Amino acid sequence: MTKILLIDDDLGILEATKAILEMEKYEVITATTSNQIKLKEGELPDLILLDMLLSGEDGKVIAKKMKSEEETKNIPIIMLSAYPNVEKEIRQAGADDFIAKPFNMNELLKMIQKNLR
Amino acid sequence: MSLQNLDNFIKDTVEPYQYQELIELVPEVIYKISTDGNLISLNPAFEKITGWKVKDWLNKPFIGIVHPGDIAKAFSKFQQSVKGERISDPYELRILKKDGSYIIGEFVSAPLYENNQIIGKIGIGRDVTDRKMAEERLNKLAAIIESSDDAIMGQKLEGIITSWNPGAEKLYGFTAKEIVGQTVLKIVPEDKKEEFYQIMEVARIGGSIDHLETVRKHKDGRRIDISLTLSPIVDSSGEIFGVSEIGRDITIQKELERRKDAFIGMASHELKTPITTLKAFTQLLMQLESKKNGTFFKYLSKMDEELNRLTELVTELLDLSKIQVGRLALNKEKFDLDEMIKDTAENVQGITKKHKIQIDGKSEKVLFGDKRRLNQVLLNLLTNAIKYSPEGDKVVVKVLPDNNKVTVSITDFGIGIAKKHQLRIFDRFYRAAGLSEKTFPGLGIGLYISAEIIRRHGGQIWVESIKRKGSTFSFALPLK
Repeated sequence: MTKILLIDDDLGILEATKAILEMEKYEVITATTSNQIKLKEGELPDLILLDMLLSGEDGKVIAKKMKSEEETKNIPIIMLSAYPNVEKEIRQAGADDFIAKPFNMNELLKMIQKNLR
Repeated sequence: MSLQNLDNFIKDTVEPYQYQELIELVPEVIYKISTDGNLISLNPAFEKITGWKVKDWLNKPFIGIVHPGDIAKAFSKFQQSVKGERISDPYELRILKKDGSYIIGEFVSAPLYENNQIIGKIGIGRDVTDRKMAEERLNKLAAIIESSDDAIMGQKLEGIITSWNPGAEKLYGFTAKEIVGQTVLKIVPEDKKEEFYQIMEVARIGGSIDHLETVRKHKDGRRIDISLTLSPIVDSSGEIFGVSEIGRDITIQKELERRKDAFIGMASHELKTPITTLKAFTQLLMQLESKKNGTFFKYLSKMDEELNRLTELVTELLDLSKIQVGRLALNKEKFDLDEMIKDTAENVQGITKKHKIQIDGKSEKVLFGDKRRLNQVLLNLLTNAIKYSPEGDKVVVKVLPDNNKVTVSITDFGIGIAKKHQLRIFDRFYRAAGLSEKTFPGLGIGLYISAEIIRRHGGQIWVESIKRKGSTFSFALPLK
């Protein structure tokens, strides 16, 4: 099953997005911070949905780190943000795609499919 | 006549005659005053300078022509002369002109002798009004420059500082003593040097720079945001020989702008976050309901639509405040216009069943612009077309490429816009609907934002409309 790691500090968004993604037959692992990521040894997600502004943490830094490490650099990262006009900076941070909050689930699903290819 | 007699003849007759001619010619006033204070001789220059006739003042007290405030001084100078003193250090007196105004005269004088007896005084006066006024203006200007909070400096064309006011000392940290004679590059940060050379080039050919926002470097190395005004300094023959530079500290404005920006960003984030959560749950419920063909689906999709509207309103408000602070940034990139039009039309088609969105023509152009913003314009025009043609059944998007521009028109067959509203419809908060007309939801700033986006791309936006027939909104974007 395709595994999606979803990182956002808003629990409501985590819960609803997880439920919808699961309906689409994705396996979803959620985390509110980068420290909270609960992955088993050697287990990696196929795609990461990452909020730009987490509590006390910058999603761009996480993206940059993941894109710089051999193990994770090929995992597509889609970043989410309610901040307008951040597409350029998040792409500079290495993210593969960007979706503005609030988003349409259909749009998000399309973007996930596109980046999994 | 003996030689001696000839000498005497020249001395007594010819020389005085020639002196007399000089007296008639000189531009200065040459005058004699008797010991009792009456003017007893005045040359023609007196008439030219004061406007009086010589006869107006001959045999009248000289005091009468002196400014009341200078009478004491004039009298004491007169006393000195008739006591036998030569006054070679020039002194000034204000002298009455015929038109009632005063000129400033500069005088030297000596005792007037006849047969070794002092019979009065003789003097020369000249009009120094213009020079004095110029000095006064210069002094005033100097005082303004000295007391100005702005940093004002003069420089030669090659950038050597020639003057430096206390405002500049305060702003840049260098004293005049430290920096006059040095290059102005001392206060230009490395990354602004190219810009500096460019503006000096402008000044060199006589151009000015008005309120350029740039950065200068303080003596301690810290960067200072300034607004810079540069003007060439020309000499009396019109030759440019230097540049005046006025720098105004705009650190506080910059900080306020930065804070406002941060606030707008934060407000956007804070307002959109709960909408995102609401929307996610709504869409989750929609999914669940649609799976079991539930009856609540239509209510939930209405909720979803309202959330879309709420998002749009928040975005519009934020865009508006950004335009107001001149902060609507464009992220330009190359993109396929036809693809964008097709995608947007498809998205809008998704929210209307009544209207068919039809695309006529293709631009076959790659545009350089802010794709997201231009998409916003198209979206705004398309949703307006649907909103304002409740009875209509189609909206036509026409794409017309040209050599140097591409025009996109959106036509609806709706309520139309009266002529009087057409020009103002792109104004902020302008709503065409009067009280008697049906009103439509929205803030009335969508077209204002669209117009601003098109203008910022160097394009044009306009409307053609016939009441009750429909409207065509068009925008043209330049191709580079």
